[in-house]
Amino acid sequence: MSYPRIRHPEWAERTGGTLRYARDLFPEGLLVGKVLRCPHPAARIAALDLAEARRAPGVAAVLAAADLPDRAYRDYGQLDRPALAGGCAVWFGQEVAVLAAATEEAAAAALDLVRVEWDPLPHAASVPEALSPGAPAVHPQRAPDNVATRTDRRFGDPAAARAAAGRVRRARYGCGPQHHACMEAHSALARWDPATGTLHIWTPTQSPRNVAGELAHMLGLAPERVHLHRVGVGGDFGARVKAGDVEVLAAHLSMATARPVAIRLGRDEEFAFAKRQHETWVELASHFDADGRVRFREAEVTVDNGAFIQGGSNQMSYCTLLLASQYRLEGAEVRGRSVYTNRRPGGAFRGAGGPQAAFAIESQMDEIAAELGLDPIDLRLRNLTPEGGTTITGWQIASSGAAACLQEVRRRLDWDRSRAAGGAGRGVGVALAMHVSGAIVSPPTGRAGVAIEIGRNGGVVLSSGCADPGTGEYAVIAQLAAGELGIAPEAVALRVMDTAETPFDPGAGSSRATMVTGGAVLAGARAMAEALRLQAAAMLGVDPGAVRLEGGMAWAGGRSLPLGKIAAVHPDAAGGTLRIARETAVPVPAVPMTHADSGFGNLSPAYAFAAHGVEVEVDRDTGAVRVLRVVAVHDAGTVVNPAGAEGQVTGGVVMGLGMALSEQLLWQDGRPHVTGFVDYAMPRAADVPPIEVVFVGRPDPLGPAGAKSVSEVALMPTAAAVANAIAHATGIRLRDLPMTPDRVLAALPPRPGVRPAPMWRRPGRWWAAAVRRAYPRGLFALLHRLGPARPPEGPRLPVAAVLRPADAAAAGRALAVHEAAAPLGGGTDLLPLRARGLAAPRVLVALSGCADLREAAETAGGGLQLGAALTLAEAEARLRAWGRPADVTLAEAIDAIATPQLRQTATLGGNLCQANRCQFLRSGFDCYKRGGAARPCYALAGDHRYHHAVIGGGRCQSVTPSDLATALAGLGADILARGPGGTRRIPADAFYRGPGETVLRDGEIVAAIRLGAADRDAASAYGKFALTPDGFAVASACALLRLDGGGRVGSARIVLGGVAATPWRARAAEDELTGLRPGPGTVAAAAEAWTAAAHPLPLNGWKLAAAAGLLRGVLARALAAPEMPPAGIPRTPVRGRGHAPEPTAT
Amino acid sequence: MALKPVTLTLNGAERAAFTEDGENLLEFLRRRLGDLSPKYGCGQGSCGACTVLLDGAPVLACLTLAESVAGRRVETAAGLAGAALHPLQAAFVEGFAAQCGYCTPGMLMAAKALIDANPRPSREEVLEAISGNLCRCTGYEPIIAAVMAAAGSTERRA
Repeated sequence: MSYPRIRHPEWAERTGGTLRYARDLFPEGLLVGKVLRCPHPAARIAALDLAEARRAPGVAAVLAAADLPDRAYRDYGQLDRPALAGGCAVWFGQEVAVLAAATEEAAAAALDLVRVEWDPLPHAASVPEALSPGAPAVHPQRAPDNVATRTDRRFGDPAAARAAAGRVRRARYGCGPQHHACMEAHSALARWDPATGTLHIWTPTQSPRNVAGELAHMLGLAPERVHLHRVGVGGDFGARVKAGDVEVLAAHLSMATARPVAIRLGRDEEFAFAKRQHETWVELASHFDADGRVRFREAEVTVDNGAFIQGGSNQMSYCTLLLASQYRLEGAEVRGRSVYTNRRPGGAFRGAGGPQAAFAIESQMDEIAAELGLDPIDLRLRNLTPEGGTTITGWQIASSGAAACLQEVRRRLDWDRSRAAGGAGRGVGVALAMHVSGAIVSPPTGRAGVAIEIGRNGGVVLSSGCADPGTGEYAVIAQLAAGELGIAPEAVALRVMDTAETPFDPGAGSSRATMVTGGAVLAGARAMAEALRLQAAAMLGVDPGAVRLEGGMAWAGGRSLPLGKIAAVHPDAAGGTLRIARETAVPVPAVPMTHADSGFGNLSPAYAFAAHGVEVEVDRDTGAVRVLRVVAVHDAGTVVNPAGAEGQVTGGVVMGLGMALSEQLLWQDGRPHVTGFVDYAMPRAADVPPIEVVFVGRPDPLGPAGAKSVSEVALMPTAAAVANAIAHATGIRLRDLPMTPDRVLAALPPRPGVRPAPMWRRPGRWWAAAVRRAYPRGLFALLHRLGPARPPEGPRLPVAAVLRPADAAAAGRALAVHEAAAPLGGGTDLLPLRARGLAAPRVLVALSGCADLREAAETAGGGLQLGAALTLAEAEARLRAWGRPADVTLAEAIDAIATPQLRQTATLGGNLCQANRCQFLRSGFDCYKRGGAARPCYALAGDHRYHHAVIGGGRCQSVTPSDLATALAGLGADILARGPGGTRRIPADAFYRGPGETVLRDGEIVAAIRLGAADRDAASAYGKFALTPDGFAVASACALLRLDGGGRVGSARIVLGGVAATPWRARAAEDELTGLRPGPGTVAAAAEAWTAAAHPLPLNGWKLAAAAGLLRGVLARALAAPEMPPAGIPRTPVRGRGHAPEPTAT
Repeated sequence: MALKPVTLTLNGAERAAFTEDGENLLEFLRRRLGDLSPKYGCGQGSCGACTVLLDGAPVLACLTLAESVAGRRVETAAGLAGAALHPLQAAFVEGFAAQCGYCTPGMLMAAKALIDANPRPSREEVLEAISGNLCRCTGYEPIIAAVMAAAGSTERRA
């Protein structure tokens, strides 16, 4: 049967803002729970003193490992993870103590009172370190060599298969960890009920019984004494398929206090301390013959567990199995190891090894096709396991739409023509994926229960223990039940998720929801339908075969009965309600898949397939890859919930684009420095190309109503398809994800003109060069260990007052009078800085009410002046209305800043004065800039590819983040500063003295920006290169050119942002252009000339080429934009300042 | 610390509550006025889950000081539906544009600001308008399509 598009059962709540998530619950007496974490990658806890914290006001309980039962999380059976660190902590962020207090502030203050004496230990913060000879062991007893689990599997006839092949292709493919980035950060609310001895828990999860079961185990309670309640689930993607860290801790606190306790992670904590994907490397060799038949595959999979295994071993295991299962191999040898490192542990993540296997397999398939001169789709078609076939791993492929998926991509992408036309930066690529519909690794993973009730009034209640984290599972089960009962899906009331009210369910995971839970629902609904038909037949005196259920009625021979009436009189009905419960198991035996098992057997009842085709454009100048379109063709068998399935595919594709191109978590010696969405480049709407979703599958014989899985396979092929398209577009093969611009540019041939001058000719840089050389040779370690740490901040004081002066003079007085007062523009930087403890103003002087700071006017001489308290949005609108050439350039620069919401709030002055955006600083590293001269620069020793200086970097390598600053400096604007001594004019290119550090004096604020008449009319252009549309500039460029009558450049002003501590005047580029009538060659030479002055860091030299590429485009646009003096305003060759009243100089 | 009274118009109704200086609008709406529709997504101004309309313009409640909205008009997703669903909500429902639902209230408000000002937006304008709102579930396409549908756009869906 086919299923219609329906409204999701929770549609009203989800679109009305009334769905209650765990974060929305505030029961009476609620306490705030907070976690104390280890500040070292590994350390012995030499002493722990909780006494002072326990005495602190408002504190109800403080717990450490000694207060908890000596138990370890079961996770996937590994038992290696305690709830709180005892003797040693083994990752930066590991939970060491936890407390509950009356308020957020009291909890934070009490946390500062826990005294810990740390004894830092040698550590291995990455897989290469952990596997190096003599590496410190993360868990010396358990894994002295840091290899937590290993697997070594052989399938088919490896020797014969290898011998038959003749050719081999070998490479290593790396998939960096993604972050789940659920929009609802981890959150757990626990309430211990001493009267009944029951622990109540409200927490988001797609697997309620996994979480409840783990809680019972950790707390030493009988399983039925843990009651997980239904709540909204703000995303999962594997992050909450097993218990995280906070559920158990909240529960212990509630048991200790007999009050409800909630632990709600902030986003920075979520990024730094919640689960992540396991970083995975696949060494893969495909042995194939001259006809393109892949006969043998050997592989070694290495998985970074982090400090505890959690999902790491599973990821390794499934990845190795899939490497041996996709395509019709004759033999395979696959090995794997999961490795302990002193890093935040990973957890299950959508696909669990599948996306990583798909990236390796499908990249290599294209490499083979290229070697043999075969079409990539043809090569794949030649190697498919046919429908009805069995893989060498024992997977029985009862239904396969693999060929249909590939053919549909071929058709929709106009493949043959696109492949022939590719190259020169544009290309198409395809990748195929296959995936289980539930890996049945133990009997419980294939079993689910259901109960269906029909009351006298005909109301239908469906009970299932599943939870819907956005996948549409509630819609799926409603549709399956409704289809059998002949009622509308909307008529099915759902009782779900709540572990006390619903039958057993294994939870979603490994794409089993529709197969296993859906299978149980279908069976239960069929049993109910059968019971109703039998009863109706008896009541109507007809043969049961003649009864049909439709529209809430049973029909036979023109007569009908309402279902409620039939149910009420059924012999099994109780109190007028007929209830039928079933527990079913999928019809395949379980295949144990742990690392120690052979892995052979039919792992799943059915296998889903998907082929994704993409078209990309590669910017040769910046290395940026733009995906122009995606065609995602899926074989999901019967599509039970069409709207939900499409949503799963588009969501999977976009998560796959993030995996392919931008998302990465970074650490410096085990400490994370990607701790916000600003630095985690997750796709935004503007990154997303049109995505066509197509379903081609036929019903699967074992799937419920013929359905197979869709949610995980949707992520799997995208990254390889993008890599293959990049190879088609450019000829380069990228094997490490994400394929960020730096990696793209590094793989392309270098531009000869992009070249820093040799160091021996630049004595001014010798000192910096010497320090950089000394850093990895001990200087960094010395400063890191011995540099005096910043003194503890003490309690963070709340804001004492927000003042709203009416004009700039009053604002100045307020700033002068109050101690620790700070001017507040839009607050978009100051407030987050304050929340992270990086700024501590007590009095905020809001400038938004100062009328004289919000004026926007053209001056008598034709210049313009914009008040500093105007929002970016207001300024942009005004500039576009004025519309002179430089006005538009400035408006474009503003439009490229941040997001629409931020532009509504952020002000011109605030943008100029924002602090630098160094990830290390903002993630709380006690660095030079924060902690003073004897602290190291962490960027210098860490990953500084994007947002650090390539020119003239000193002790702090960061840059001024304001895009507005680049534009204003480029356009020759002035900044008016107002302070106790009056107003002074500061040329925009002299406004900064360091990264995010202005020349403003004490008590001075930015009053306005000003652009002269002549500059407004000169030819100009601005460009920005960032990793995401809202992101901070990797580089920005602004050029203002004055052309004489003959098209010659009379004067040029060229400024680059993001390359140096302050907006940087590229005088070499200006000199190249001045006096010439520039052609493309001159422009290119000018765009690269400035790079001679560069002194890049080891990893950010690529920015020279990217910034040069950006600048080339900006110069070309500026030259193409003629100067346009409006009538009546004479063009003047000399820079004029207009006739606005001159500000008072100080 | 002194409590300051704030009176505002929330979803058309005049409301008053106390705030503390430094409290953000998100906490104020959720805890003091009981409107739980704006969500905490990041607290850093980068995800859009707390988007509300302030005098019609989309702003981030987590970065807006509560005292600054005194006398102003605030709209949240909780006030979108009248007797019937707002066209945006209806389009989100029909197009399965709300998956886990957590980003939805902010997404709806960002979209409302757009179509209030620009009843027939192009696809590009829709992308721009919701580019401050992160979603991890949908891949945006269903949301984009829903906003276009709500605006009665005739532009072909990709």
